[in-house]
Amino acid sequence: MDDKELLKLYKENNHYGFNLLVDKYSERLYWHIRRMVLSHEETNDILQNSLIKVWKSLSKFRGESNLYTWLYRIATNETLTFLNKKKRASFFSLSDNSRAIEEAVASDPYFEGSEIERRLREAILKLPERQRAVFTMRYFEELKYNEISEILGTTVGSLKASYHHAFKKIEQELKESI
Amino acid sequence: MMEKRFEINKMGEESGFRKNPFTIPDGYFDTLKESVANKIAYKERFSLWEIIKPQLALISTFAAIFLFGYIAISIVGSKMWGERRDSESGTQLLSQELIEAREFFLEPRTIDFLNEEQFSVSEGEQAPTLEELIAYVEDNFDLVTLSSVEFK
Repeated sequence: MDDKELLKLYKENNHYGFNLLVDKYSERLYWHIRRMVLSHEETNDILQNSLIKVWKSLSKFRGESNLYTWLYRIATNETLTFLNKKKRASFFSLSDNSRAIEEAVASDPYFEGSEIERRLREAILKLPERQRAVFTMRYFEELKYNEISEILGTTVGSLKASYHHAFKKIEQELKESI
Repeated sequence: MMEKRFEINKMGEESGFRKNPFTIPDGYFDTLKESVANKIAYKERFSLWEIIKPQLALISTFAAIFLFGYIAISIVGSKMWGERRDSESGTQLLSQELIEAREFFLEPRTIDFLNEEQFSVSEGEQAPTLEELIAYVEDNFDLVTLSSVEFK
């Protein structure tokens, strides 16, 4: 079912249309968020909050952008807000941030990657929030720069610079950690 | 071999870096829709207005009680104060009226006006009788005013 048909059904019956949207996009949005925050529990919270926001504002969606871009924007903003809050909270915590990240990845029961994959995820977690978002969207989801630009509301030039910096930091981190 | 593994430019599909190392609890997406629906229902039930409403009701009640109390105290207070003031300074009010009456009647111009205009009789008109003058004064001036007027 394409997005136009989905939105038409939503206009006819809000609950039915919204359920179709959740069926179609929740998995993509889940993985989009999960790659940025890693933990399943946190991803679940962010995804549910994002979907609630979608429900609240779907009636105002005018179709000026793609539905999936709009959904990605909501999920990304929700994730960035969450990450910023978490960063502020960790700023006041006494524990070492790098160590907390390592422990979070190591203790995640839903992570089944190899040692090198674990190191990569830890390196990604150490990136500033926006760079992390750019890197995951470009590297893992292979979104085009203009799509990321629409989602984050940033220029393509700035995104390329962000990706380059993120890339270099991860490369350096991996070289140092092994 | 190690060098090749950490060349991030070559971290494509073949490196396995892009493969998903995460798992999710069984049946997670089956229950997600229901969880979201429950949260939406809960949020709609306990929206901001629903949270504010009882607090607003409480504030309104206190405000109403305060207002009624204030009005009641104002009415009773002013009544008591008014009675006290009347009894204590009734003469003060009377003297104020007297001052005003005096200002009106004892003003030279007023007396002149009364002498010359109001009570003057033009030719052809019949002069008012004494009874008519007394009746006019009784109708138009009170006793207090009259007692304060000194005719020269």
